[in-house]
Amino acid sequence: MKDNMEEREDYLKRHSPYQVNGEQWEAMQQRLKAGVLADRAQQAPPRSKRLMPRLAAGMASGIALILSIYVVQQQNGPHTATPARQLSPEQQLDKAISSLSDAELSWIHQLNEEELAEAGESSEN
Amino acid sequence: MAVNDIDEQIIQLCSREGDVDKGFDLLMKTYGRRLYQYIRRLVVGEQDAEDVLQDTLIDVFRAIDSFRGDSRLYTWLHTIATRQCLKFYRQKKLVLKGFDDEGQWLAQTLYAENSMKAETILLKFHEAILLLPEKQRLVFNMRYFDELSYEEISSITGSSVSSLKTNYHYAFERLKKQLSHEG
Repeated sequence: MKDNMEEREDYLKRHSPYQVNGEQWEAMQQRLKAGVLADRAQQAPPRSKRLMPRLAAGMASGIALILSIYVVQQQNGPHTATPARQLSPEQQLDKAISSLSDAELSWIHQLNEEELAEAGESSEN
Repeated sequence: MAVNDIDEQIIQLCSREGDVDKGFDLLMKTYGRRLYQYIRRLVVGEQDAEDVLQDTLIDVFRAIDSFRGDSRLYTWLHTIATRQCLKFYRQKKLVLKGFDDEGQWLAQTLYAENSMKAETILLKFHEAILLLPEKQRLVFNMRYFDELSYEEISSITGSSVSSLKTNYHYAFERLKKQLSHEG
């Protein structure tokens, strides 16, 4: 009688009405894993969550700046001093005069005086 | 030493810096079936057990970084699973009128899902377990099937060891009486 009770107890402990077969178990594990992975993705650290939009915005503005410089360089050549077309005609003249040597300047003076003399003669006639 | 090598590996892989994919596989290979059986014995329904196991695993992966290794990993998994099972009971009580007598409701589910599959004696045994008061049911499952020590069950349920021993004794006597009537 005692052996019978022990056998029965052993049977009850080792068997279950809740068995799932290997195929069902594999399929269930895949569903469970998908749930866990989805939750882990949602639970990404809050710090990087906050940083991501800022980082993305910074990267985007950086790329835009580089592109705009590239486009300007393609159109105008590499950036040097202030482009001449932004100066008025008077400023351009001043700039041109200041870049001349003393010899060049005296030659221009002489030329101007000759022109003025010729102009005076013709007006007298 | 509460945490063994396998547990160490599982904890490392399942952490935020680890390989979740591999960690999940190792966790399930080591404890998956036992954990599922534990939950299934408490909530009975196949789909309900899968849902509760899913919630348990999500909690495990969220909290694994805070696991300090004071207990065996399996005891910690049991704690989370038990909490989820008790949550399941509370939710059912809220939405199902018939769940006031949860033992009867669970026993009906047992028969509904096992009409021709399991042997009568096995079904009668599990029906009797389901009809135990909630606390006795929990203690009996953890002690008899999962062979956890009273100290481990105490850390899971928050009950004193002496109270758990009394509950287990009552549960065991009740089941023995029931089975001898059946036999």
